[in-house]
Amino acid sequence: MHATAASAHDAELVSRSRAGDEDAFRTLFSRHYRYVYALCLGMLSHREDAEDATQEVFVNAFSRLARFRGDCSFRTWLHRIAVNVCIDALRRRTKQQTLQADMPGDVRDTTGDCIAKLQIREALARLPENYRAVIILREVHGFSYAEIAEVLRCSLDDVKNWLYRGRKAFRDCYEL
Amino acid sequence: MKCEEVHPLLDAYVDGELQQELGDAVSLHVSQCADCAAKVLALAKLGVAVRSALDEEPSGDLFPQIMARCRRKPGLLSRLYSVWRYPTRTALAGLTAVCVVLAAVSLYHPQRPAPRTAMQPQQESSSPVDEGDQAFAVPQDLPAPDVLFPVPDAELAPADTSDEWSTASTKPTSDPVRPSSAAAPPKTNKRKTVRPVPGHNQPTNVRVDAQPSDTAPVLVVLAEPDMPAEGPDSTILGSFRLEFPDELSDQPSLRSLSVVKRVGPSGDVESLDISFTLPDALQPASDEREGSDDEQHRSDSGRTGSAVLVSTP
Repeated sequence: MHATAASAHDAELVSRSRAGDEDAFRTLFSRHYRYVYALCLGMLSHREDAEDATQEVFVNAFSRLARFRGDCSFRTWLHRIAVNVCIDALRRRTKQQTLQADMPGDVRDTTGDCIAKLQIREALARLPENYRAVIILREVHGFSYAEIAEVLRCSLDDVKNWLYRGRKAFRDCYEL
Repeated sequence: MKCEEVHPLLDAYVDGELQQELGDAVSLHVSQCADCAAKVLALAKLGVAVRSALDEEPSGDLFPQIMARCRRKPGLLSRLYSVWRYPTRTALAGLTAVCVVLAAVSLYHPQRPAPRTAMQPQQESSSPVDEGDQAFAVPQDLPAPDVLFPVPDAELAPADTSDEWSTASTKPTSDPVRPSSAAAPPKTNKRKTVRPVPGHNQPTNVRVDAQPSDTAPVLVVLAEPDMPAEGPDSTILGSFRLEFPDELSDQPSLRSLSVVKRVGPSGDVESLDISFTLPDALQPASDEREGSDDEQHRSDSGRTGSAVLVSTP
């Protein structure tokens, strides 16, 4: 008997998704979409782009699920896809299409918090892609350095270096 | 610890990535140093700020749109499930592998050397290499290319097994001398050219080029350079990579095949194992750069199935 989708581990849900269980894939989606969306939003600084990218991440993940060998966790694999989708999206943007960070989603939130969120996203948008990615994976997702290195396929030293420089550059752009 | 020693460690300290002993030392210093404590606070604030800025829900439920996009991609769902839900299809792919191997082996057979006369042996052994074979020039003391696949006729085509193998392209000759180009029979569009490279006696270095026939897809037979024999008594006969014409490229066919001969202790052929690679869509292997656009066009290599073709006692 299968465990219920909600309580099953990712590996089991992956296996069931491969076998055509759409509910299992929906559970995987429910479990991870907020993190993927946050990563896309932080990388792309634009809600609509982030939503498109999130969709693309899961479409890609779904289509490649049969090829997921389990060498790393599903979460790591999914975020690797997300980073690559975001980088592809950024490269598609021409210089003329450089986007400003848009207003945070809740339009009723017109307080100082809303302005602060906008400024933070703009500060993130000014950072190089790799700095942005390590900061989001660390601060939002709580990934360890080793997990970040696995997602970005880089060394631990790179992660440490990019985090240090990225945080410093962020503080230069946004005064805390 | 001094501040200048602590500063480079503060990021890792805040992230909990320092080892216990070093973390304790940094913690002690921070508790006593207002400047470093302020830096730690700033790092913590940065984390809170980024988290709050990105803590947002998408505007709607994305899942139905994702599934709709999956369904719009032709064959995506069926590709995902095909191997697991449709074992028949996979079995058919295996059957196709066997058929393609049989067809490939029977279509391409080596150039036979002209019969040597009593007057010829010295001239033949010292004859220059064909101009077209310069890239794979053969040292004169090496045996004939057919010997690269040292499978006796009797092994490949035992009297009580399939006739296809009796006309196999890998059928050897006992002539150890490579024929000169002048002595070789005229090429036909179904005849293969065997070009050994130095060190040819290692089957993994064998290269076999085949010319396309009028009707069959282009067949290029290449030994995979790094593919080890599957045991001390195994010989790789060849690897068959199929390149289909454009109009056939979307067929759910096989991408590559390889044949491994297993020889038992007695010297008899125990089996000829056929391994095959399924098309990209059926590949289970993950990729180096998942999700990238470039990846969509990349082929995978690797074998995902096998079938034993011949088994003799």
